[in-house]
Amino acid sequence: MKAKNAPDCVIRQEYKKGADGKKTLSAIIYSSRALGREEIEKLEPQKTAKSVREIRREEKGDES
Amino acid sequence: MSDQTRLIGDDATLETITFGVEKSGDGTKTFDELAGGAAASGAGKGFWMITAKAATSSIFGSLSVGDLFPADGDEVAVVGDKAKLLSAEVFADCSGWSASLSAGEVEVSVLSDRVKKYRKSKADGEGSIKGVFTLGITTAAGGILNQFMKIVKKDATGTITVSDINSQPIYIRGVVRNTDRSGETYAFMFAQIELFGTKLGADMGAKQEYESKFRFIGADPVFYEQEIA
Repeated sequence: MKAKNAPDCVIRQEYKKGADGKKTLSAIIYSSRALGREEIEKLEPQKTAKSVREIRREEKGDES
Repeated sequence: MSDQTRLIGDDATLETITFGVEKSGDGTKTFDELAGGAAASGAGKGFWMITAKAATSSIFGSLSVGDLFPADGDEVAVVGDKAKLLSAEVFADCSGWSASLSAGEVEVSVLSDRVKKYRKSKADGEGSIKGVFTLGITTAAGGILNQFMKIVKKDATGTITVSDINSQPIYIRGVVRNTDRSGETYAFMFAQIELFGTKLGADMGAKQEYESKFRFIGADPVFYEQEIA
């Protein structure tokens, strides 16, 4: 299950101010207390979208 | 650490809401500019009701149409984003308000259960507004009394004003923590309501009070908190 679809999903929206002083939405972060994970929607290159499955796979050292 | 103030009745207020003209994002203008001010003027700072969202990269993110977007004024709405700026007016004759929600209990027990099982059904909400009957406020055009009866007024110059029964949608901001101090948290419930009662009359030696029951209509009520920068 993705945090985005979890029944206890919490959504956090982050905004960043550009050099022109104008703010844009930079990231939407979904989290789930039950899953204990955050997923970041790909809105800016610095932040990588990762699903819970991807994070767990990395933790187990399974890169396949 | 988040604001964990223990609230009291004096922290609260009740406001009626009106909306400005719908503004459309163009990918360059900030909310300050959409509100008619210059960039960084603060004209667009406040809550905007979302009326449309761009299919991608909406400044409103995961918020839905009907939700309020708390803007600093310097955010840029993209093409497809539309919103109306809220104006709030204090319910000046209000002495108290409440809203309560309770969910239905649906029994789903089966023969093998030893203890009955229940699932939560839809929540039902209602509330009430209490106030001190105040001439010029309770009796204003669009006020509580005007929801139920036509009001005719004649001023000292001889002008007569007739206010037909008001049937405009009523939006409220039920504020549980009213503050504009930096570091404190402003918190309120936003909802569209229908009013179902008022009262006129008096008891000797007591203030003239009214109490009006309300129910929710339109989009579901939403609770908002904003930490004051």
